[in-house]
Amino acid sequence: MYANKILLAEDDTTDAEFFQRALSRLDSPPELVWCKSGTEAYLGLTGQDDASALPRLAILDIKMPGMNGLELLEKIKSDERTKNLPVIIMSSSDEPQDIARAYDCGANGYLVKPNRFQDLRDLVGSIHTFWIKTNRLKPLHD
Amino acid sequence: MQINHDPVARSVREVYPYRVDLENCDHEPLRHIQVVQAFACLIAADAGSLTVRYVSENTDRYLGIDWQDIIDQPLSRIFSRDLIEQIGLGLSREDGFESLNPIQTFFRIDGQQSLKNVIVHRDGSRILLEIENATEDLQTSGYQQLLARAVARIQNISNHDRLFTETATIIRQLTGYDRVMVYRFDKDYNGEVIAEALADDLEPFFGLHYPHTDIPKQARELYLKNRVRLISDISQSPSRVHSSEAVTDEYLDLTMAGSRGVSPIHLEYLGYMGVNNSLSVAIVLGDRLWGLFALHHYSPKNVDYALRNLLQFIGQIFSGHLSLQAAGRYREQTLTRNLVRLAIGEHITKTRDLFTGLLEGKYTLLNIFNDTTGAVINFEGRQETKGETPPMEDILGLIDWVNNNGVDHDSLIYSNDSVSRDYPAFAPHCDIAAGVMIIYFNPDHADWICWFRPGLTRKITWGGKPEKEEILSREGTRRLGPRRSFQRYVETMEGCSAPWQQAEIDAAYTLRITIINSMIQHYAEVKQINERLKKAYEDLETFSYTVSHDLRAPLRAINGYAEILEEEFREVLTDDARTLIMGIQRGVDQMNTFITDILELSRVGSGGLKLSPVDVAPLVSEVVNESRPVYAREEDFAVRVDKDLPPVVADRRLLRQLYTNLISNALKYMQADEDGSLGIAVGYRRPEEGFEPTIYTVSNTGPGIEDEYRDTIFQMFSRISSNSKTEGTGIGLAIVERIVSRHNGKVWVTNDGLGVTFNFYLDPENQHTFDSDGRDRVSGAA
Repeated sequence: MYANKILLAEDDTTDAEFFQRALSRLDSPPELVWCKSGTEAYLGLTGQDDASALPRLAILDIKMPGMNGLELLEKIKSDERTKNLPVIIMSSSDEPQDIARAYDCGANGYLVKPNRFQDLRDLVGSIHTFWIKTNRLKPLHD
Repeated sequence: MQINHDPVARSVREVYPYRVDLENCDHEPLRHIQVVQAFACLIAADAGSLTVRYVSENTDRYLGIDWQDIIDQPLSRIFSRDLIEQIGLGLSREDGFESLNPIQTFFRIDGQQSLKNVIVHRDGSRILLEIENATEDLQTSGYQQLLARAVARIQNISNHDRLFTETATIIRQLTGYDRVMVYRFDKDYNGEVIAEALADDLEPFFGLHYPHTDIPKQARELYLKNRVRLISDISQSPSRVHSSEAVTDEYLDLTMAGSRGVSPIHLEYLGYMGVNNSLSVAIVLGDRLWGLFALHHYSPKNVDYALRNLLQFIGQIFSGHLSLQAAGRYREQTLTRNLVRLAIGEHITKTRDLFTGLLEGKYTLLNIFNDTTGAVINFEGRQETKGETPPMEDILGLIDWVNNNGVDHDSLIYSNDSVSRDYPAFAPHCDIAAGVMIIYFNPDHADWICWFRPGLTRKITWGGKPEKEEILSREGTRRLGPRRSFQRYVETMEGCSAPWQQAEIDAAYTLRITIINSMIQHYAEVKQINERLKKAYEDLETFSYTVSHDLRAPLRAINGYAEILEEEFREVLTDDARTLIMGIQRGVDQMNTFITDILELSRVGSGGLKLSPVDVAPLVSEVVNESRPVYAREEDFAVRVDKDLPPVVADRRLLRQLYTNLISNALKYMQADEDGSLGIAVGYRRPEEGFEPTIYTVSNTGPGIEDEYRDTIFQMFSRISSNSKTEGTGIGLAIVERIVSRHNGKVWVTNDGLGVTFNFYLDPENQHTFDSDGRDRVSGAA
């Protein structure tokens, strides 16, 4: 039903590159759709009527110019077409209020960007296992 | 009352142009009385032509010429050439006749040469000439000597209380009058005899009060223009003043004439008192009639013009002396009030509290005025009293009344020395609050200060019942008679406080300005500080955010690339290259620690404290378990945690941070001591007595900390040794210090326990809900 794709909204080129590298080390990695801003990501998600073209997972950075990650999250969760899309917020902040705010906006998960690349690789592995592999067996919607 | 024979009325009626009765008594036109007293004759002439237009009937007595021979004649037909020259001189002088009077001239009367004083006044287009007997044996030089001595004596009186009596004595010696009184007016022009010098056989009038009607308004106005008033021998009939047919104006204005006729009412009044001769000298302060020297003689007495002149001068000297003394006293009182006012203003600024500033300093509201029983402040809905005051609800009732009835819409001050007269509900509080003074901070009258003055029971001894009588004559006309009764009459006045002086009202007004300035200054300061703090907190939040996000991103890049490099090019990298990459990563780790610590520090400062009782022992065990592996080393070391660490009221998150930092610090810096033992201990010192707070300790083995570093180790970025092998940011203990001070506690270091011990306690006020067993006395929970 969904394409084997992950959407990443991240304005930092380096972080995006690390994510891509970490993802590429997986067995049969999903395709990464990288959007450099919240607006770009939103247009990408809502610009087509074909639900099957939606990614399996969206990973959003909080701090982005223009529409930030939380605003994008709210739009995703309030749009009929995208409300079932699992969204993980990924941020360098471990402030409790940032985490709480993300969940208040409807995030399915909150992850602190690891400082070490090794840790990022492990985290991306876990995300892949849980959100892509597991959910493929049990479709989320309805 | 009806009297059949009214001699005074009869004798004056012929010459007195008005009927004075109850309908017009206030306007009795004294200066238009067209008679002169018997001690002088009067001639008024045109100032230009020097032709006589008015003349009194008694000229033959003083000039030896009938008045009919004088009217309409030029002055040169009557007077010598010398005198005419003097008149010409006076008319040409700017100060008129002041320095020429009296012009002494001989007149031939009944074949005798007789020395007369001619006193000349210019009044617009007329000149008035009065001719009276001169005393030959009193030469000018004699007067000057007398005068000089009297003035010197008066000016030497430094004691205010003695000034009046001594001056009265001096005047009596100078004039020989039976009685000399110093008569002072109050604000309503009731009079009081405040000093007296008198012949031995007379009854003293000292202390007696006289109603303002005794010296009516028009008489007081005349005193301001012509300061000396002689009423000589009331038994002699006055002389009528005749006018020329050529004059068109009805009456001659006799204001400046010393011999001006006397009101029949006043003559009657003197007659009842038994006085034959009365001489009054005005004492004028500023533009106001302050009082009189009132001289009474009971038998006829000749008073030379020169002596009257001299008394006028003494009156002026006395006024000057009095105003100097009054100014001195005023200055002194004003100075005192200003000092009090400034002290209060300073205290408000210093204590940053209006109530404390006004009520609790060395000087308070009650020091501003004399004789205040108490005061109330009402500010922003809160009331505080000082001293003795009526109950608050009654005060609020009064204020309500004043706001609605007593005070002008936007007036900022109200004073009343008899408030119950206008607001009868306040009558029960007369003893402590007969007088009130209110200042308002703002025109809306919402905030105010109110002072109370006690009621005085004043006994006033009147020199007779203070009412004029209505006399009904046989002809059936009513006229006003003077008081006949001089029986002492004691009146008791209640419900009045000492009057609020203008200076006091001014002082209240300036106090208001002082208070407002102090408050404005205070509020401005607080506002400024608040804004700065707000800005600082905002800055701090931005700072934290910047640190957590923007600083970490490039570090992640450095670290990530280094790791990828190391991983993907493992085969081609030499050992040297790999060591260099590890160096990069170590640097990044250190930087990350730094950032974490700075974030922690900034978190300590912001946000509210969530205080709750915290069980310390389990928390410490947790922290130890987390920290221990981080500081693992080759040697074995002991970590001892006291199991009965008492609970403490604290913010749990911050307390955890506090212990994390202290324990990390101890683990980091512990060194084996002489016995070879190595370790840390977490414990407490029992409170010494009562509710002293429990002191918690974290101790480690190792050398003590030198005195000079005891305080500085808690400062930011301070590390005792820069080349220490141990790593650290120098922020850990600064965080400890900040956490402790946010809990109103204290942290310090001692060289005891295992070697070095960090001690702290948290807010003793918060710990009181716990007893020494650590049980919560309120809830019973440990």
